[in-house]
Amino acid sequence: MWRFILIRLAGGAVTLVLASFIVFGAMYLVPGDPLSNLIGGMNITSEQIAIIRNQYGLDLPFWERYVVWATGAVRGDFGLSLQFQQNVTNLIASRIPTTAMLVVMSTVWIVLGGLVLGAVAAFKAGRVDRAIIGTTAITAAVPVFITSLLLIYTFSVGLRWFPAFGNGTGFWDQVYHLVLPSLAMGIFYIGLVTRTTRAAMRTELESDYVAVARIRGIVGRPLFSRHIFRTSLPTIMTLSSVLIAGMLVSSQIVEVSFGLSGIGSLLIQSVKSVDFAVVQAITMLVITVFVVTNLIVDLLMPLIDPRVVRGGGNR
Amino acid sequence: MTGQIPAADALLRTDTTVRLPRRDPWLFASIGWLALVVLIAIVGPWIAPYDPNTVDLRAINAPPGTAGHLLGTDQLGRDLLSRLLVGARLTLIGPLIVIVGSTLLGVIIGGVSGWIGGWVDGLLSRIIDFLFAFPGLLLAIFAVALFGPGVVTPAIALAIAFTPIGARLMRNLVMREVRKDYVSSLRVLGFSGVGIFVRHVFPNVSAPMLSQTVLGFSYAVVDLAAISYLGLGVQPPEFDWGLMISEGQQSLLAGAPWPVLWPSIMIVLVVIAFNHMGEYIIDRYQRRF
Repeated sequence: MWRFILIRLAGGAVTLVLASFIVFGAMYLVPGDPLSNLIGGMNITSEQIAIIRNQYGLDLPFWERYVVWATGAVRGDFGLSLQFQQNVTNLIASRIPTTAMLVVMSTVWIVLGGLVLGAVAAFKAGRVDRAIIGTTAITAAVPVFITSLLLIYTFSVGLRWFPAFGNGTGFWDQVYHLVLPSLAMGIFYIGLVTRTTRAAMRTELESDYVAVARIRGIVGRPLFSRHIFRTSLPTIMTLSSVLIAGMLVSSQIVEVSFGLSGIGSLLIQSVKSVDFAVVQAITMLVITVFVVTNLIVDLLMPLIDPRVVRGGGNR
Repeated sequence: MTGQIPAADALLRTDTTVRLPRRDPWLFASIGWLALVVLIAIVGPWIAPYDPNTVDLRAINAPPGTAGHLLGTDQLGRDLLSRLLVGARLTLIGPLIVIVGSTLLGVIIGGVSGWIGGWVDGLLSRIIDFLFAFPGLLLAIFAVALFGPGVVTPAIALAIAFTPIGARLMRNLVMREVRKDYVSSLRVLGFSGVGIFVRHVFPNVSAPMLSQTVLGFSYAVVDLAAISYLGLGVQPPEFDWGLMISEGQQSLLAGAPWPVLWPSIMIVLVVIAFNHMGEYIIDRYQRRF
């Protein structure tokens, strides 16, 4: 067990270090002088040039530069945003709540919608099953930005039920503003979770132990919650990594569509204005969140399915 | 979307598809539709009724069916049918780069890894695992930050981001084949390793890989359209369907949805067709046994 945990932790740490090296080193892959790349087309004073030189340690050799940047990053210091003339960390911190709330609301839609629809499709073979699977085949083909615009047109322009733009102020107003964006992000993945849940539960339903349980008189809710749900959970959990990555990048698109000031829209804006310090920081942040959440799921898996620790044998 | 996909790998493990008939009418519909789209991508600029960039401020957001504009016009009065026909080419070129690149890399890395095994496999598998830490769209956006917007930069980034999916599938498939009796029989008969791989193993693993490639194309279409939508792909005056959707958002908010609607329908239908083809291939492969 401890061996399993240590291997996973070490793997995550190595991945993050390598990723940070790439995110930092990439700047020097680009043809041209790093200083002029960093400045881009922006008008800045010679004092600021001195700050950038110092911040990126441009007078130092490459390895020392990386160490300067990485130690700063670990302490939460990613330097100065040229476009906003502001500390990158503060800038990102002010944007985190919106994105976090968006992802949480989306997760609620995906988990509830996907599990319920998947279970219904698994148990109600025939017309209900075909209707659900047919619908998910379509939702799986609609990109997030098209869903966003479809929702905006229907519920903001047409019915005027929800706002099409902005964050809102105050907690409930923010929730209200995030209903459409979180749905737009969720719909695609609801289909994915539905299909996987259905397939996993079908497999369990057709297995021998379920037949035996039925013969013993275990039917209905006990059969579902104690047997089918628990045993199909590991298969459904394999989606978690897909979902986490998907939401981290979909949030960027949705934030642009709905004009939300979250991390994603900040990233896109910074890419456009070549504000490289912000791009590096957000890229690193997203990868870290992705790696850490995957790690947590990996470490929780043995609680759901003890077989994973034994290396998948004995199945 | 975004590269992190329940790819053919997952389709092989769990039966997520509905059983398809052998002579599936939807398969022919998909192939026919994709053939039409490819044709449009090739001849689009020659059959477009108008220059797609001609601005006509007297006909802004004209609804579909307006005299002379079958599908209507956008917020600058540009003919939408013409833009749809011309935009097809740049919409498909990016995904083509992604798929050719990631399939070649995936087949080579996965093939070598599965065939040779041992420490080579260990090393390559670590690299594949590491690449999985980069969500596809994020890598593409990061590449644009470095090299500037365009068609090729995000496409190359996505090709790299998609590689681990195909490589892992290839590795697992090849590994399963290597253990089979026919491979050791051929070795005993004195055939060379490369010969056995190319003539016998590769054909046996090609169906799932083809399915992966076809599915990958649809994910690439979605991701690159998203890149264009975000304004990080093709730059005006050039355009693809993703950029058309982005530019049409103003019209949509003003109550004229068609500049967004047509390119959206095109993208969705292309993706559905590719997805269906991919699922058909994997379905046939599973029932071969």
